[in-house]
Amino acid sequence: MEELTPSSEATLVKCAACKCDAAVDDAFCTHCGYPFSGSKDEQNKFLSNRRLKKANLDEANKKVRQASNALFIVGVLTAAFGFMFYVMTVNPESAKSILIANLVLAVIYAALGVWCRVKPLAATISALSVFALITIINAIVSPISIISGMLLKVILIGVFITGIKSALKAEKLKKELNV
Amino acid sequence: MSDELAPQVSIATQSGPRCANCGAAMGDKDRFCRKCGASLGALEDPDTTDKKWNAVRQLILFFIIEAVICAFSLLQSLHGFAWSVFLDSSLAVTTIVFVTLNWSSCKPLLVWNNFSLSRLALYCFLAVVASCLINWQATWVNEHFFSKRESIYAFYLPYKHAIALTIFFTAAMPAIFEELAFRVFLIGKLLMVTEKNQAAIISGFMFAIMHMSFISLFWLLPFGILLGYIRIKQNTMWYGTCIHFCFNLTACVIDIMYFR
Repeated sequence: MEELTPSSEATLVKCAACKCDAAVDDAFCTHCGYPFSGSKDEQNKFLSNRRLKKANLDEANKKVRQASNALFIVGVLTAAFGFMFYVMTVNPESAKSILIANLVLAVIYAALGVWCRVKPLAATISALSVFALITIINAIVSPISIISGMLLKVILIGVFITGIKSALKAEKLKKELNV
Repeated sequence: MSDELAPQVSIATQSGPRCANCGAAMGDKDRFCRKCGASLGALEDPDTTDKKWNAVRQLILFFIIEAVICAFSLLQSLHGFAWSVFLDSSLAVTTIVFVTLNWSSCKPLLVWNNFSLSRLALYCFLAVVASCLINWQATWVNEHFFSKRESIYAFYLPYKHAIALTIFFTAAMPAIFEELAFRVFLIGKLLMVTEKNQAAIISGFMFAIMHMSFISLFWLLPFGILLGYIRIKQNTMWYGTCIHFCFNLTACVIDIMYFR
């Protein structure tokens, strides 16, 4: 019993890269692949590589955050547009249904913004779909509307596409870094 | 006794996962080999990342094409039987093209795996019940908030075999082609990119918004997600197709009965 306890403590070391426990006779860390038995050069290279991946992950997460915020902004804009239209339009029948439509849409955007914080890939794909659908419907039903807010639409589509790519990247990096 | 024990001990030490690179024994949860450092599936190879992005591009392209065709159906100038048939056919052709281009991943779904008559009967029964409830609700909402009665059957009435046309275009065609589009093709691509639950949710979401009806979203979304789950779980498109067909058929039958 006394022999067992000190030896079980001595068999564990902390990995310098990922801070996980590893057996003392392991050549590589089983969690992150850090070369315990490698040269100082190899170990430094591994650590700086890992730092680079972490920086990339931070950047990817930042872009995903941007997509999430863009969704909230679009939601607010949609709701605002709905109210504006309701107040300014002559026909009360269509005004009410357009207001409700815009409010439902605003809620969808907001919900996607929240979902983006939890499941970024799913949310960004869905966000791009619904935004593309609304833009396409507006473009076909009243082609003049393509021009209105075109810059904003192009920027938003860019943000969502970047969001999708960054979400894919973030997933891959999270898996590699084992965070 | 010792002869019986010895083989078991050696089998125990020989069993268990081994590193593909150097053959060293490894634990279940190891991500890197402790002896040679080889990645045991932790690193995503660049091929997979490319494949994932390609899958996303394809499914977005498909969605956009379908969205454009559906948006055209909103135009007042494109009303009438001929346009309706043309637009429906365009959707069907688009779906067939995309499925054909991805035939190897779509083909397995066309087989009726996990066939069970009792399960099919249960699904279809539930579809009919759900359709009655939703149809009743929609009629109520239409009459109370919009004071109008819409009838799909009335649209086909001027033509020969109006009942058959209604059932073909409102029940049969959507059942087959929407299932092919959203459950076979779309979920196929989504499963390359994300996990099962998210794939069902995303495809259900895209299915729901494609119908372009804000009021119906509250039941279209769960319906789409449910069909997605069933396709993923049962690994076939046919349960979904039958459910969808029964659902739409019930709506048709109610519509026709009410109209007459």
